[in-house]
Amino acid sequence: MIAEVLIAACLLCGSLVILLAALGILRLPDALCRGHALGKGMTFGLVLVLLGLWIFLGLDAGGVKLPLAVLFQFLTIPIASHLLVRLAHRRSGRTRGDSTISPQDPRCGRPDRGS
Amino acid sequence: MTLTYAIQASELILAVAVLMGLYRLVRGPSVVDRLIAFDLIVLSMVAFTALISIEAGTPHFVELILIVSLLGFFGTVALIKALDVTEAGEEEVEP
Repeated sequence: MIAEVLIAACLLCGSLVILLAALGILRLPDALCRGHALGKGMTFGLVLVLLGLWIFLGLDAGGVKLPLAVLFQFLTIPIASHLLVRLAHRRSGRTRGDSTISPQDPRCGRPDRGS
Repeated sequence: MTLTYAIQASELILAVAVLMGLYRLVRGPSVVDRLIAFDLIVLSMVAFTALISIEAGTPHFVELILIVSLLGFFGTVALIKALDVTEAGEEEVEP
């Protein structure tokens, strides 16, 4: 009973955080802001949903693959979000707000030379 | 009983999230917005697979979770790299 309530809470909280990320992608004004909403919200929500699945399956059935999946989400979603935001900043060609780093700055990474 | 209702409510919420991502995918002003919406839809599909796995009560969908998230990540990175290379090609024409 307690495990059931815990799984339900994990699933509902994860789905609501994913809905929050989708709302940010729908409503925020810029590609940089949308990438920010994707990176944080999807990581947290998806890890909550996978945690609910792990509690449901138990340690013997979940095994090694489900913690591997959680670790993989933690590794890949911030990397993909970082690459997306870097591409958005490089393509925008302007600085937003009090950002003092121009897209042509070498700290933003140079585009590949197609080697 | 609680779990069934929670799974159905979570599926409804995820369906609404995918619809929001589809709106941004259709009406994104730039390519990067469409890529962000694509990433949102793929990761929502991963969460949907986890919900279906709880609903069916089998651990056989865990491999599907790994495969779908891997495909989404590699698709996103490949599209970003393709856009980078085309931009570098445009820049190399200039000087």
